[in-house]
Amino acid sequence: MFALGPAVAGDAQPDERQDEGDDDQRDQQRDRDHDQRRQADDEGEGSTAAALATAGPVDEVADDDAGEGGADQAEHPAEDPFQQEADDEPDHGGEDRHPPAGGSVGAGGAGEHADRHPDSELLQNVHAPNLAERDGRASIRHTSAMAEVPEPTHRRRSHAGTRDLERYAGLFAERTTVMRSSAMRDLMAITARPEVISLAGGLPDTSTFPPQSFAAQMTRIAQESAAKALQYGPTEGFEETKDCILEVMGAEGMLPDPDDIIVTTGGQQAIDLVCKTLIDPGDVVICEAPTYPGAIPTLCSYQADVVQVECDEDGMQVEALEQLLDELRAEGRRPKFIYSVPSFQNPAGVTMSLPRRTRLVELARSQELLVVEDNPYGLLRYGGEPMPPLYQLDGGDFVIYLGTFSKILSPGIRLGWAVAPPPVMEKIVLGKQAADLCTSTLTQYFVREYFAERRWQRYVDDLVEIYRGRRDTMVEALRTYFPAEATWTEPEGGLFIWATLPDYIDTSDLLAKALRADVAFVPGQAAYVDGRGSHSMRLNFSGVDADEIREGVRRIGKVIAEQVELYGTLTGEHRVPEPAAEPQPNVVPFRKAEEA
Amino acid sequence: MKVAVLKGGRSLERGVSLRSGARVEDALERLGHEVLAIDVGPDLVKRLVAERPDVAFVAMHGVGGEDGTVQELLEILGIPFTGPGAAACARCMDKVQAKDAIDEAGRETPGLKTPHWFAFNQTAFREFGAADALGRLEETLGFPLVVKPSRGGSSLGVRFARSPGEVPEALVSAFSYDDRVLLERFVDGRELAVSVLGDEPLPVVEAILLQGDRYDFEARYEIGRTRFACPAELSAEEERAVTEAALGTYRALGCTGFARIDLILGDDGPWLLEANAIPGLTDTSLLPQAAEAAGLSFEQLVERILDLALHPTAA
Repeated sequence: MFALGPAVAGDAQPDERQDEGDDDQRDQQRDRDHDQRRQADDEGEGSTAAALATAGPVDEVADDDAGEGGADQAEHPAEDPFQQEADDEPDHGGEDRHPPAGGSVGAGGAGEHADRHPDSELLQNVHAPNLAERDGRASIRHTSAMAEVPEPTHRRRSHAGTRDLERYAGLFAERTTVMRSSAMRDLMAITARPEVISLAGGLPDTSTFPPQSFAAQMTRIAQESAAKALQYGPTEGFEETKDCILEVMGAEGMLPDPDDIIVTTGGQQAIDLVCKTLIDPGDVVICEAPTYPGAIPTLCSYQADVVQVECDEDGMQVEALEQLLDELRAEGRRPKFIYSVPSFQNPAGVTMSLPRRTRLVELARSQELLVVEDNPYGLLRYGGEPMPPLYQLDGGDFVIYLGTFSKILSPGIRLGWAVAPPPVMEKIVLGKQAADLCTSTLTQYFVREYFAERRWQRYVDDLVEIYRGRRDTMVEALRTYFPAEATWTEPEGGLFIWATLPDYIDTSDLLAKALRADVAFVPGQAAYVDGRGSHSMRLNFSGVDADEIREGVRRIGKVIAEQVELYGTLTGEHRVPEPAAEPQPNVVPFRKAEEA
Repeated sequence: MKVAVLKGGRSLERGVSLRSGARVEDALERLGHEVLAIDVGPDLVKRLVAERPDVAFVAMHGVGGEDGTVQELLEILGIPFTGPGAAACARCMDKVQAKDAIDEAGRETPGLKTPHWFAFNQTAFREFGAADALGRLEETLGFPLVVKPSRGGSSLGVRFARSPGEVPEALVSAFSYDDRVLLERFVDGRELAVSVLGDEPLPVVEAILLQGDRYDFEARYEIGRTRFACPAELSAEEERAVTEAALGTYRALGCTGFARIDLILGDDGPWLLEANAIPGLTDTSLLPQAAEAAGLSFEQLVERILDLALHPTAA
């Protein structure tokens, strides 16, 4: 029925802008949508995502699979578009796919069941009646099918016995052996206690987003584009979303071709897709040391051989990278890519200097190496001069760029993106199809609405003001409460400060003590693949307010001071900790690689 | 029967406890009991008074739930509960108290011995210059030596020092978990765990580490990093020695209901390390594995534990 080849994204989307905001055309539009879909079904047009979503398995597969639902459908397309959609819902596997025979469609009057849904009443207040009618139709289908299915019994997650576990263990893919949970994760679970001041998160402060504005945008979507906002979208993302992305990237001096962009489910998926596209088990991937803790499980799950290059206050030590590349070359190995967060790095808070950026891009170009630039914080600059992204310096030949709306708008909408050279993008798109067909249409509509108000930059400016104040508060608190033996970074942007303690303090153990004082941070080990980082910690200053930052840092400072003093008595040095009296002018955030 | 499952709490082992609790709830429901799941917090007493459960299943680990605190409350409220009583829990939780009790019993019973150990609290170091005694102590214990917090579970804060230089750092780590720490001679041997149910020893479990250099916290809760052999391959004589040592420890600590005794089987017989008053009941925990090897399903194990709580003399 459908070819699996990459179709042009958005083909199935009728002219979306032309009727937006036109209430009278909604019914008409809905009918057009349906017609269009049916036509698409018949002719094999439509975005790949839509095709995959509505087609079920391709014919060959479907034929072999008769009795599981796919083949039946392919041969007898359902008449009713609602029926078609529900039956083809790809998330349902095997026997769940068909409603029981005799489940009649459209039985009962439209709207008859509308009031069964507590939400539908609310919706009716907001929307025109036809929405309620649609809701009614949906619920009719639902109830008529449900009537013949036995009442589902409450099923708790079953807990397997040891023998079962061994049986499962034999089934696990090899890559799961490197997917590690940890004691730290158990400790981090405790940080969720309400009385704990958590400087452990990486959370932007979403309380600064005006609820009225959110309500207005979502209402507008419901009133003007409900059917489309609830529909699948193109795998690559909507063109309109890409326009928003271009605005954001433009604010940092980048102007990629929209065709080189894919919209992803958060920046995290962008990392995952790049890994999926490029990494075979055992491939070398180079990261910063420390690196983004969230990238480590992704890299490990693709069984990359992660090698970390030390950072200092100017970001990744590109000289050390060159040396590493030479060593690798001597071994006949070549990294698949170099992963970097050059601006306001997570977790270190440092920013790569311009000479290093230039050199890194030169290296990439001369040795034809891919650099993956992850830039979630670039616009959150509180001081210093803006720095050109690697992507801009390179022009997009050897730099794959990853961005996200998480830190400048909301992490809850899960919208990120990747920009890659066309051949790489082609593979990434296939990977994205396999992963989730398309990024949430609803949240893409939200971003579109939000950007249409043309206030996004002002919101980022507001965030910058708030976070700058919080960073200053944290730096000041560190100077006041951390013992003289501690060092830390003073970032010009982003969300994190990286503090390093004397090497006899293990920050994972310290976290246990800190939790008794109701305060939490991320132990540095989370940012390394090799157990290093155990004397450092990541502190977040964006997610909590100034008072909590001060109190949190004070509490951590106190437990550190106790350990410093204890160590002094243990070694007979009797070092009584003194808070740094004067602000420290030249904090050395990292020891050099050879000392570490 | 209405069974309150107490789990969670504020201990560092909260995560493990929640997993134990969930699994117990599941089994209780399958057994047809009415389950009242309680993530233990400030409203614990109020809820117990209001709900009046017939029995409480304590699935808590670490400080608060395993050290006699919750047990004391349950004794006051007159609610029967699973596992050892408050005093026994307090003894098991505190390795110093436990070792004292085992050593004491060991004077009568030759098979009960603990690796040579010393204990210090922070005051000893901060105020009495205990650091100056470290040299002598290191000479006695030899290297490597083990440093562990007196109260703490799941290997949290347990460090190995291979040289005198590593001792202070190990102490700082251990003191992160408790105000009192133990320095212990490292005994090389097989790591065994004997769970006791009622007054019956269950088959011995051996932990065989596949990756990493120690049997650490992470290995303990991850499928695939430690292999457990149950029953452990032991000669009849070894098995008898190990089982008797475990039972002797169980009794010396005054345990009832159940407990798990961890020990090392060295060339010169079993060395007792610690007793867990409320051993883990997660998918990868040792007590359920041992029960399974004895032919008890998890449901049967849970039912038996309840029985022992309600009819302690029946043991």
